[in-house]
Amino acid sequence: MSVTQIVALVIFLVMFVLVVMDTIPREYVTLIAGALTLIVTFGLLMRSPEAIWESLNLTAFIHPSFWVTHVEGADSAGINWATITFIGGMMVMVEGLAKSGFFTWLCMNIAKLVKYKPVPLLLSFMVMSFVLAMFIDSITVILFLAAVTVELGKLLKLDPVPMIVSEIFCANLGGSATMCGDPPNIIIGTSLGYSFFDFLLHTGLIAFVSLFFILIYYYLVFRKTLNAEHITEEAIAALPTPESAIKNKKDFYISSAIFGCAAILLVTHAQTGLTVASIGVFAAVATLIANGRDSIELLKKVDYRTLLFFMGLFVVVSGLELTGILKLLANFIGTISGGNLHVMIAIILWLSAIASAIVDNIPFAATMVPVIKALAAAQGIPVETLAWTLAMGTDVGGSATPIGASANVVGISVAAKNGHIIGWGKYCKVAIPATIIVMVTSMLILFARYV
Amino acid sequence: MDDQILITVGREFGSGGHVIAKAMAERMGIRYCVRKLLDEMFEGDEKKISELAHYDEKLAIPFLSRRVRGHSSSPEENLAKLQFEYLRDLADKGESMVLVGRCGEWLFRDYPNHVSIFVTAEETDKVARVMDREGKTEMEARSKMARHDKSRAKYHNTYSDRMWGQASTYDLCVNASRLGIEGTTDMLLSYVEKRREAFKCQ
Repeated sequence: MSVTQIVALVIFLVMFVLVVMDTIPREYVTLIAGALTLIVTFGLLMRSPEAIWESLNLTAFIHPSFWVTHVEGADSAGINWATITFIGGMMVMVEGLAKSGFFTWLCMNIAKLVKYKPVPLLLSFMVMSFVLAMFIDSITVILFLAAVTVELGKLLKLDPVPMIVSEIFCANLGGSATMCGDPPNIIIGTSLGYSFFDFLLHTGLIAFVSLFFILIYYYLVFRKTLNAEHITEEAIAALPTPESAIKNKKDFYISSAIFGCAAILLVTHAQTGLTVASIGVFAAVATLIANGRDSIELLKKVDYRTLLFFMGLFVVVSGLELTGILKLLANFIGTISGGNLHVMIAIILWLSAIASAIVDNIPFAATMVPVIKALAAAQGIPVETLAWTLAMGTDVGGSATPIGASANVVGISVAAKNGHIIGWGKYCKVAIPATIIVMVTSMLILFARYV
Repeated sequence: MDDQILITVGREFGSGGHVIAKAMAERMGIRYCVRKLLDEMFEGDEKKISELAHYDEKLAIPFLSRRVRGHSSSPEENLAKLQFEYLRDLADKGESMVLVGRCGEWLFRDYPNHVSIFVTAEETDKVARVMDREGKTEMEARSKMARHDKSRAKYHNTYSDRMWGQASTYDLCVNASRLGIEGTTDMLLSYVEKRREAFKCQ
């Protein structure tokens, strides 16, 4: 290993540990680590202005493929602006949707539809969480779903914890089904040039099959607890109507229409030729125009910290990529698997799942994308197979522990604010077996379909 | 509300701060908030109380907790925030209380009828009290004192913008060894009485 490689690796490892420790805001950590990569690794050691320029990837915006085809960034290291633009745009749209009362309205309608019966409520909210997370980031899905679950729990005198932990799991699982469901998928999709439909046909299929088993699993785990709950007619009568969630009918219809359009554009983006970055910009601009004067407030609510976190992270990962560290890792995986695709799938799937259960899955996925590209090229295997494997491992592995995915943290926090503290033991007792069920299902489908 | 008094007591381990706080609450006839806080918050739910006792007044463990957009997965932090909310709710309802620990002086910093106290004592007295109360050797007592004070300081300084045990953090810092437990209690009660009069004049 050269000095340059060692420095790039040290910067990455220190960044990773500091992100996991969570004592310094993570966007500061990745931005400082990114600056060190640019100055020390590329500037002082490699003396390569080209590497700095490639890492910043600022020309991405002026390249037509950023806006109108779906192969953006396929061959460039550095900041994945397509991911950042899409996530930023969707954040604006989701803020508008939330402000209109859409999520609460939807949850209350579903609850009403199943007549507030505990077991159907559990199963329908799990499916709703899965479906919403296919299009919207899982943090937002859980933020609203958990809040409504807690409110329903209070009014119906129902323990909301079983429902919240099941919803969290399904949000992560739903996120794995599409390209825009979970940040690792957006990174994988934009880096390797896949479409929404590519994901739906591959990880989507695995996610839907897994959902079937997961519904059965959570039903078996929680049926006794939930069947013991008795919902009275008085409690149901005291519930607010779904319509009461809508604050302004005009805003509600417009926001819902923008969401519907964004969903259609995402589903058809391979046909229309629009990239996810374009769709993100469309969703944001449409939401801001529709909200007029309130658009400043919406912009203030956008989570800029996460976007900055991504920027720094991509620069640090480009440090590993341009110095050849990730090729070394790819060669190592290739060697220990002996070129056997079964072993490679198993290693990437379980390594991603275990790593994502312990650390944030976004840095892990961003690091692994160049690794699977190099591995596929070196071993002469289709990169798609490894991409779907990586997506399932990182998206669902994070469900196993309270810190594995952002949705878990948000769901646990919403429950805690309402007096329901969920510790590691309580969470992992149900989440680890569920994660293993999905991982085994994924592995079997991946083996059967791609080997 | 005019008669409300919120007394918060920070204390070093073995200083007698607990005993003094309890005596003050009894003599003033007001609520004493300390270890039984969980029992009050989750009345009747024994299973939950025993589960949550593990996280009470403890700090989040690095690597085992994470924050996302202002949300935390740490049961320790979530429980602390829940307790702070419960205590603020009691104060908002006009309840008077003597609150031991739990960043009380920071929690009630904006309440007008608030008196914050910190109790310390001579090292030898603290060691003797811990040895006597818990049947420990001198070395064990010293080690336990150091451990607890470190953990209290960390807990306090995580949530408060002021430093635990530093004079500027509190209205009054007192060395309980000088007047003894009873004498210190009397002195503090008389101080509280004077502060009460001052509150009324404001």
